[in-house]
Amino acid sequence: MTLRKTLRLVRIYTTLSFRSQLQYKTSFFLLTLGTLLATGLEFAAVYALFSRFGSLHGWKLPQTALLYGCISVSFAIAEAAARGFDTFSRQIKSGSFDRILLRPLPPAFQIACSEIQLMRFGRFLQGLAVLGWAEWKLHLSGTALMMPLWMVTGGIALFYGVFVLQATLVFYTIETPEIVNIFTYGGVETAQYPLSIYPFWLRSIFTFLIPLASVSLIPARALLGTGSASLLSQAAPAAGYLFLIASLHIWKIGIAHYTSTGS
Amino acid sequence: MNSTFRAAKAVAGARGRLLMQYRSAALFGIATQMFWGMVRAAVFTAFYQAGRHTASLTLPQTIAYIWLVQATLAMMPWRTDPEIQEMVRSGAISYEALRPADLYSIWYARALAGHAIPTLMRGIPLLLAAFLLFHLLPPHGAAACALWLFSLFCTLLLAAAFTTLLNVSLLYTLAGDGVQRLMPALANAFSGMLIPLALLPRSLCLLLRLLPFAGLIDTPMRCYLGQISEGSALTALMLPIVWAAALIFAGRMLLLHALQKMMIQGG
Repeated sequence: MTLRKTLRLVRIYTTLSFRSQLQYKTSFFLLTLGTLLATGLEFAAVYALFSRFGSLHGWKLPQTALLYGCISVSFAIAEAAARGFDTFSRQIKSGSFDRILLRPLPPAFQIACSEIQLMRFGRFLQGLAVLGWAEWKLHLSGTALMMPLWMVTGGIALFYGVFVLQATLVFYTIETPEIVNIFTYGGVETAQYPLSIYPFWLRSIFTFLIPLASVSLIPARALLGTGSASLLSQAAPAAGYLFLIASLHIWKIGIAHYTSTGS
Repeated sequence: MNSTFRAAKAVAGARGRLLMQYRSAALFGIATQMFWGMVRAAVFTAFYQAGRHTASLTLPQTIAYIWLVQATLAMMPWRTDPEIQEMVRSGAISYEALRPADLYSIWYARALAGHAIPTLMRGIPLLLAAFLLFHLLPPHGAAACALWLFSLFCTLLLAAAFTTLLNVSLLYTLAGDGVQRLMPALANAFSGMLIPLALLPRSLCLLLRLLPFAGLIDTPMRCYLGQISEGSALTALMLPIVWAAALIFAGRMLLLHALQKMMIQGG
């Protein structure tokens, strides 16, 4: 598939998805407002904790807000874009995955494009606001602003990879087990705070199994000058991309395993 | 009245037995909630290590709080009943309205079972695990334990009133996007689920304790930790009951109003 054709298809799929969702404008508006309020109150709770306790392992509120903002924005974008993978069990159950396999396009591409969900726009806005506030409080400017952006893109790739793996699991389990939430929503929740506060086993999961630390803690420390600023820690968010590539390979193993229930 | 009660009891029983079938879902749910509990316990431990606190809760108390929240999470009025939502959408609600029983009582009974059974199925194993693995602080004495159990019962009445109100609101909004999203957000923040109310600034804490949401988490928690003396127990426990009664009244009125102006199409 040529790049030109791919981009054209992405554009068509995206416009379709947006159009169909924006048919319900009030609904979209209320949902955004609701999520904005919910996530806003969540951050208010973090604020209350900092005002009560002062700091968290040497991290002040603005520094923590940098982590929080980056992770929230990454997750919001990944969740919206990976909606097709997130709800993949529906396609397996209804048998509509068979139709996807018949089309002359890579299945992963079709599922990726099948829906871009606007429902989580509120979370994205909230994350962006927190991130902006953190950058302003920490007096980040010029090239220093590139690092949060680099972290966010690495985070998007990483969470996207997690959703691909979740969908791959569905080839074997049919239903998405609730426990997978540990790696999606659990990942966001844990990485909103510096990962260094967690017990060893938890830190290991989110460093080696799912490299969340390399899109949040490690580059953030390099940026804030509280840890190693070596080239390696600055390049760490690239691990998110490697994770996505690895996930897509595992996905192919899953597809090879797939047997349709249809006739 | 007696027949309504019997019908409501039958509905609650049937609903409860249905929910009891989802045992493996409950098992995965417990594992997931244990994970959340450990994460939140680690966050609070790290905060307490900073030292600067005039907290009204000690660290073991806060950790007990976290585990109790996880154990009673199914009490939170987070969602409308999917079956009622489907009924409203498809119009099958008309059959529901025709039944010779008080609709509000039936729905309330459903909600009672919907909160009680998952709480028992998930909560008891989770609390046992927390006792054995994470040294959960036991209740502050026998009196505190009794108060706590009674207070959880009040929470159940309150939670079911919230959920039924959400279900009734479906008759007005159909899609379920507005109130149905806003209320859970408020409940999370104002009940003490996100952060114990005792750790908030004093005036805010006192204000939030007057709202109906505090009865969902904060009140039973204070009973468990022994922060409510026997003397003040009556007023502290009355408040959730009064709120439950008010929400039940509001739900009833709104349901009545909705049914009166309901138009059923089709033949």
